[in-house]
Amino acid sequence: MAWSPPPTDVLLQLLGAPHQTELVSSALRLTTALLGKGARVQVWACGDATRLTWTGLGETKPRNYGDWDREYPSATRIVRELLTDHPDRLYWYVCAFCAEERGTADQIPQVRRRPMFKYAEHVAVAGKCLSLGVH
Amino acid sequence: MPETTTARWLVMIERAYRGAVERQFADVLSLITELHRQSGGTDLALRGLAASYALTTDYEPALRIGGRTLDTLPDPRATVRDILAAGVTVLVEEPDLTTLGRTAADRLLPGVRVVEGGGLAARWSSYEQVWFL
Amino acid sequence: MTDHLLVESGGAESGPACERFVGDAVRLLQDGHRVVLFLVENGVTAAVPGASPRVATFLRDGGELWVDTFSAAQRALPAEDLLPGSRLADMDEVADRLLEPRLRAVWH
Repeated sequence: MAWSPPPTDVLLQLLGAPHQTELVSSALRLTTALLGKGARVQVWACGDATRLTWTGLGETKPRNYGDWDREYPSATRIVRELLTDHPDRLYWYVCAFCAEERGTADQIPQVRRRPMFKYAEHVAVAGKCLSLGVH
Repeated sequence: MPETTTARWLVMIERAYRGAVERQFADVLSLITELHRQSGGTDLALRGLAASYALTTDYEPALRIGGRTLDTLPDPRATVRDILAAGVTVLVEEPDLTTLGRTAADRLLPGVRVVEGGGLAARWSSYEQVWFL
Repeated sequence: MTDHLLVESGGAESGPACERFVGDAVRLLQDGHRVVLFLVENGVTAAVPGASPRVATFLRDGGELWVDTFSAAQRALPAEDLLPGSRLADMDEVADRLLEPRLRAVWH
């Protein structure tokens, strides 16, 4: 039987690129708030947002020359911890085409790659759908 | 006639708040002290919304994300203080302060210099390089 | 009548698109809907008096204007510098509103 996405209260479609605006911070804040209310959430990342869960980022950011001993978690680690803390209520998908196109196909195992032509299945099982940023 | 400067490079920053969670310490302000060192003198102009980097605020650079408190977010005011301490001249244009609220001009970080609207361009010819970063 | 949550994240920095979107919020109000306009990220600058004529119209027409507490502090905008009639709100309130069954939400 074909896999189908589990229902969620909210779908956040993450289209904007990291390192351009505060969109990623907003998305993670909203996700945290929704999970805190007991809601089920799915995130669908497209375009450069697929980089947030790319294995190439590693566990930490490069060292800070101004504060050499301080550790700064990578976006990938931050998202992975959020996913592992909420295994039954948070799902993270990346658009397989975008990941291939943007060089981020190597994703952490907690993330599922999905073809764009299946996107409507995710919308159909979401109570609300918000699209954040532009591709 | 605008005053002259001994700095060789002028860095203009006007696009502000470009990703707290993913950038953390690695924001554009963090480059300025190093550019100052390499150039033999860099001035920093904060324009538009970036002028708010030069204002005091009760902002705590930390966020809760799931079970983690991420306390390594960019702290622009602390970085601007470090930049000033390194000897960089930091400039803002007066009209930008006006658009940042009634009390903005009263909350300017000590050492930041205010120039008249258009006053930055009037200084460009005294620099070897002018860059928007 | 439908409850709407509109989220503006760009503000004047993003050009005329912010005013257009606030215009959408005004139209929904005029059509009899209830609208909360939540300003977040650079969108919070639209709550500075004089920044957005349409935000003033939105408040006059009975809209609820929420300003993200974190984003405002991040941009050094204290509550006393924001439009009377606006109020600071945090993401928990947005989540509560978003989870209301019949609410429609649009992020810009």
